[in-house]
Amino acid sequence: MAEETESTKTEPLKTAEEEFKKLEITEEEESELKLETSDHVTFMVEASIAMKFGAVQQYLEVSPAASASATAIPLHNVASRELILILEYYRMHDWVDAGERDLKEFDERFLKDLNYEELKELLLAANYLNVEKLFNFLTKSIANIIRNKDVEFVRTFFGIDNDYTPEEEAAYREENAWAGVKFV
Amino acid sequence: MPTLLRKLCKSATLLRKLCESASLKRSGSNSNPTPSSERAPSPLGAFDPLPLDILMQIVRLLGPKHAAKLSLVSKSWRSLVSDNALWTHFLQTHHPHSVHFAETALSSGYPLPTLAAQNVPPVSFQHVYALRERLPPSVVIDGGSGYCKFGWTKDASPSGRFATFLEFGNIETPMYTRLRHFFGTIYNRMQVKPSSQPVIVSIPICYYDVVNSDRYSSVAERQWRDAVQCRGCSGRNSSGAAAIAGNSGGADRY
Repeated sequence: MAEETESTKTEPLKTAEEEFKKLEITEEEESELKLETSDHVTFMVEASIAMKFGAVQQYLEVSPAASASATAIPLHNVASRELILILEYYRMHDWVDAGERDLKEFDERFLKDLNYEELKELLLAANYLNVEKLFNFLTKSIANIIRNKDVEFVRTFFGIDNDYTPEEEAAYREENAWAGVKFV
Repeated sequence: MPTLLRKLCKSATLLRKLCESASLKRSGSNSNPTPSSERAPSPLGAFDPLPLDILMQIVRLLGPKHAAKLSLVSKSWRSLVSDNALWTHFLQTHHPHSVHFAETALSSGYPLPTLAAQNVPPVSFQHVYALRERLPPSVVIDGGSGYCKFGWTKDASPSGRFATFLEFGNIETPMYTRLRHFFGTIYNRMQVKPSSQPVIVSIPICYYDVVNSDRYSSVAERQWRDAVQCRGCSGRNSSGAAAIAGNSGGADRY
């Protein structure tokens, strides 16, 4: 889906794409915004979706001229890989015909296709773009992933070194025994 | 199109200000994600540090028990997880009837102060939560003179009620022996050993008692003693037991 809107950096292609998009606009009466990712890939994104991104709203607030599609809105902290995923998610969730069950299935598949590293990158991108729905979905998913795992898993998951002495760890284990959860 | 856009832009003015400060903070605290789309796995095969506010959001979603577990991850996580605002949230969502919490936090009034407030309370809400978690649920008795309701603090509604007058006569006349019987009956019906859990009692103060007694409080004290005598223990800490005397009846909620 995303490949349709993605164009390369080369100039002729870009203008050709623009022409094509202009045609599309008149047909569908759907305006688009040009977004440029940190790895300099330009995307043409439906305004209805792009305007869900807090970062885009913020940019247009400062320079409204960008909405005329002439200049690309730079997204400094989002790589094309993440933007493709974000667009995929929002296009699905924006689709009027999508039923609750479809969305649930989509969400499950969407999550399954991500490894932990990609999940984190996507969360950072969603945070930067200020896309609430996806951000909430990802934080909830991560919470579900670590919920019933042991402490060592959480350390590995977030890349944290254990800086406790065995005595300290035992003391804190005792202190939190009330929670009644499995620690190891 | 531009009209729609402008409309959206306008409504986003407030949001924008928030975004601005948030994204500034985030980009500062977070090492910039590399622009390359082909990312090499980091040395530990693990995550780069995520910004604190994101971690906090995840911890919040985990719920109190799993959040407590996370204090074992590392020293920095221990300080992250001990955040009072986090535990205020947990106390409000998981212990809505918490007596102890009311005493320590609600005394400063509503809405609850956030952590950002300058006078951070010396009490750790994580500790308070742990205390609450270890306490058995409290028995609540709303001893109206017409109807009496009794139940558990953990429940949304009373577990039983009876017509006080029909069963015990007019308890608004000084009948302390009957009062004792009255409490005994409730403990019996709730199948509780009154010594094993905190009890909150709301007792009707009789007009008769008040006009014939030197002090209002002595009446309350006497009634309270009767209630507690059936429990056979005194509240050792503040969350143990409390009496609300002076109920005029008709309260439908605890």
